[in-house]
Amino acid sequence: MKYGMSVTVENYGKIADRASALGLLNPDGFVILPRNFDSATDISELFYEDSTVTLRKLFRAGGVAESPLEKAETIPRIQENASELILPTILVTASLISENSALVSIALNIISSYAVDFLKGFPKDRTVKLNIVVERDRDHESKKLQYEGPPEGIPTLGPAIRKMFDES
Amino acid sequence: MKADINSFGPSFEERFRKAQKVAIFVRGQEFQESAISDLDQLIKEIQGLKDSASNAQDEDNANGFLALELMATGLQKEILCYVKLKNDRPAEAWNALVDAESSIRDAIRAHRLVKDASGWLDRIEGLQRLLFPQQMFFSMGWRVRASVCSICEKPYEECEHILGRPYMAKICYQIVTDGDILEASLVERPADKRCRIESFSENGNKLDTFTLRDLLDLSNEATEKSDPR
Repeated sequence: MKYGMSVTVENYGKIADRASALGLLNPDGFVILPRNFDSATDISELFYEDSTVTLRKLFRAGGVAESPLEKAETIPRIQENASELILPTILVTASLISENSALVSIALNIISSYAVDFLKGFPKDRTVKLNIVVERDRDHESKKLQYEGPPEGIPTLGPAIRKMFDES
Repeated sequence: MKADINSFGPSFEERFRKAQKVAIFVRGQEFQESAISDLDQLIKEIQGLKDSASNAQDEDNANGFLALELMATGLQKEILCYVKLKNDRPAEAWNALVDAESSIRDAIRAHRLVKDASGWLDRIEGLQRLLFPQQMFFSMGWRVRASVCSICEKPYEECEHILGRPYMAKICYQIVTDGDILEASLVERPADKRCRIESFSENGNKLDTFTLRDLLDLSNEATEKSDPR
């Protein structure tokens, strides 16, 4: 693997069903998922990673339109005072990949630049973790890609995302 | 006169290098204490130049002076650590070393002129491992409902400032205005290395994690000295 990174993929189920069960909006396009989206039993249990707010600002500035999961921004975020950078889980729905796949590349570059910037003061330990959930075109089942490695490796995930989308 | 990092650079470098010569444990304590005073003076001068650049809305120079200030502070704190150790004040020495580390990290973020401080950070981390016992730290997990930006004081999600970036010689951070503690955990890599376990109990004694001295004995001694009846 390039850059000493690791990429694993696992099943994640149907995103729309999960959102509906939690009383959230139907995810469509480019979405940031709360950390415990797959395990929460109620909307009140949900929380975002702390880095979500900063990434939302950077996505806005970079022209990446993010679809919200809630009507008003009510889901809190968790701030853990450890020195590592915890990136949020990104959802890329099937409609986005088929209509505007270039947006995925732009978003990956924005996340990568943010992580490079964040880790400037940490020249030795530059490992970041990023989860990307991709909806399959055929049946809208989704899979979660787990990336662990240096931030420079994030933009190279485009082909893996496309492969997950195309999987028959 | 315009405050400019390029014209101040040679003077900074000369004074920084002079102080760097005593940033070694075995150097004479009197030289180290003198270097701490010299760096204090240097930091004050840089702060004046930084303020001038900020007042002139010269962001690049203001951030450059912030980086120099943080470099000088990092060196001053490292030397202070040696002095504190020589004075048998290990807890204060530890805090000085942690301050040095965070100042160097912020200097790297503050301006591109600090290109590579990885060797210096390696040395600081090495000192933490060699001079002090292995430690565990506390880390708090917060559920945050609202926070404001330290630069503009608007809700952080609404402004354009980015956490960790410098803006007119100030580094942006979030101030939590509504949140609650979710959990406290023991971690090896905390955000703040001052949040450490300072003492532990053994056979009814409360021992300092650094010196292994009994803190209850020390506390009783202090009481007897202040009340010699």
